[in-house]
Amino acid sequence: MTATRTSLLVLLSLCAVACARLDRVTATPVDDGSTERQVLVMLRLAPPHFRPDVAYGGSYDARAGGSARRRIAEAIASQYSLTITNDWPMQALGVDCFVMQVGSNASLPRLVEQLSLDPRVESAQSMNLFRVLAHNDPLYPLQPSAKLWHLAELHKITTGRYVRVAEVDTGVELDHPDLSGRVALARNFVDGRQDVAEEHGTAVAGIIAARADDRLGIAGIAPEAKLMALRACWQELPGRADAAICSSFTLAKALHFALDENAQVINLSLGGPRDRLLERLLDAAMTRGITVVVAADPGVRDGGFPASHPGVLAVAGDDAHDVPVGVLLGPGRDIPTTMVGAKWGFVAGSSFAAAHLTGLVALLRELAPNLRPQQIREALAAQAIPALAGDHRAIVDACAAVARIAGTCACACAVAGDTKSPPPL
Amino acid sequence: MRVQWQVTRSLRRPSKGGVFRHAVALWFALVAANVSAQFSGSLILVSDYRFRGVSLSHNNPAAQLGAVYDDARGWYAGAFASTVQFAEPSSSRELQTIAFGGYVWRFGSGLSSEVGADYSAFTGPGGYSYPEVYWGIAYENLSGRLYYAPRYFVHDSDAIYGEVNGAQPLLDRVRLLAHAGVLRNSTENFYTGRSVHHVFDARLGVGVDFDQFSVQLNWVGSSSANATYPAETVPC
Repeated sequence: MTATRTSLLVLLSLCAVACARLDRVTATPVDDGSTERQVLVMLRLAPPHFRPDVAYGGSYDARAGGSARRRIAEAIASQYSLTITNDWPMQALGVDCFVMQVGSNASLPRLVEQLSLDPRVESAQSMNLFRVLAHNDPLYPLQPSAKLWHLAELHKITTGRYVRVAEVDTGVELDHPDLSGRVALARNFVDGRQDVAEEHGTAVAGIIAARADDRLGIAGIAPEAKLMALRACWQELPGRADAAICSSFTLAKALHFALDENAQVINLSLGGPRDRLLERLLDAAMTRGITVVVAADPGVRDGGFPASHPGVLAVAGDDAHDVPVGVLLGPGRDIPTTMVGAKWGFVAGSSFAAAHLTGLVALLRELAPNLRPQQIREALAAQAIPALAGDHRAIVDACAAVARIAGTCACACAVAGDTKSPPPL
Repeated sequence: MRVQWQVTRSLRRPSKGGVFRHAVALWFALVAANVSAQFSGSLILVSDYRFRGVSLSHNNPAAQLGAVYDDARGWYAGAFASTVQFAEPSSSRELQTIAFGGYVWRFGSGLSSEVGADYSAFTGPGGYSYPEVYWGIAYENLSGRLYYAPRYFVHDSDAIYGEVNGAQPLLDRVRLLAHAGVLRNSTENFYTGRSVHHVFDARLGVGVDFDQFSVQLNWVGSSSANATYPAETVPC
């Protein structure tokens, strides 16, 4: 009798797991080009609390109450002639985010306004699109970063060991020889598109965490950091690192996952319009002590979003001419890094300057894991060197920042002023 | 050590008939004013209803029903019912109902804390009903709660139960579940009547979530092996 019962239980479990896998494979594609006609409708996610029906079965559970939220979402969709395409509970914000497709005749701004006033809705916004901030320019054949930051000397003190870095970007080539074994975790948050290796994500990953001392390719800034490759953007054109886009929803899912996985540093080498949902997630991340490094868009006066969001570490390339006050400069041109197809190539752009700073923050956090984002910002900004007399542009001095945090001399105390000279404007 | 399986189905619609009709109507009358409030329910089948490590169904399957109302401000209230089967005085099936309510605070850091009270009532001749208050704290996939019952299952001594729960995602829809708890009686062991004041229980399981239901397989253990409800020392 016991054997029969146990066998049935095992069979039931196997069936359940198999069904769960099947369910995942047949998920409905959502990012199919209709993204610009979508709205994000946030419903309140009841805080976790005592429930006798789930308390002994699964502790606090975000799924509890899911049917109630779904029922409300269906009523809202029916009232406003919308179609629900996806949803994602975000416990960190206390919301369940529903993606709804808008009909072709409806006015999107008016609809968002109506939804925002609906008492059932916690908040609503249109779906925004973001673009990675890169240009692939082969005219810069030189390697700058190792010399500028004395990387080899820094690695004698810190390599970013065990620091959890979340790269929110396009797909990363996980089996690239210079990245092999460096990606601790990879997730795809872009539904309906094949999960593939892409140029921008692979290049950023290489700058942050490529293997060091392997007689191959490059050395990442933080070669022993635990890199999480979170695919929230997708490349539109093959071989074009700069032709990649992301949506509010895919970015929100990836950011929330990074929070759940206790990331210590998040890299966002992308930009776009202000986005309320992403602002809230960034605030939640920084409240938890996560340093968020973002690329500043050189083509936008305030650096664009999320670079203009308070508290983030906004970074532009050191060749940027006109950057807002507070934006730090990092190596942003002539950057050799990993490319799709087990190759290496040169890239340039603020995306990759941000990747440098992300690696540098990982180095600092290995030395002082409990540093708050503001302390890291102060350490980097205080040691930054003005680009020119009277110029507010500040180039990050990695050696000085590490020395400040480590409390000891870095780079043999030989921070040569000439290596920090900015490029002529 | 026992193996326990559980199938939970979320209810998409409230009950509309039978003996609950008037109660449901009253419930909706109360919550109708707040359209952002959420009402949810669940239907559960378990192979063995293990309550704090010890079977409340005499090692037999049980059916359970739960309903919860969540206010947008943090207030919540709910009811839960389960078939139970006592070891004494008879092995006939009885019904346990739990009414509960409380308030939960959510902090910006992702932490939340709650206080609440529940009243557990049983049909049948034993008269084991008892009230309880609790305080809990939760962060991401971890939670802990402390319960205090002045007359636990009408036992003469008060009891404190503490628990820690965790759920770790393994795959998209598969979670590893863990629980550890300890029951402390102020005078004697609730189950054995001996001078050992603490009874420990633990659970380790796997849960698979589907859109409308979930399936769990749990291994449950208790330091008071072969204990039953009610305990032998409970006065009738």
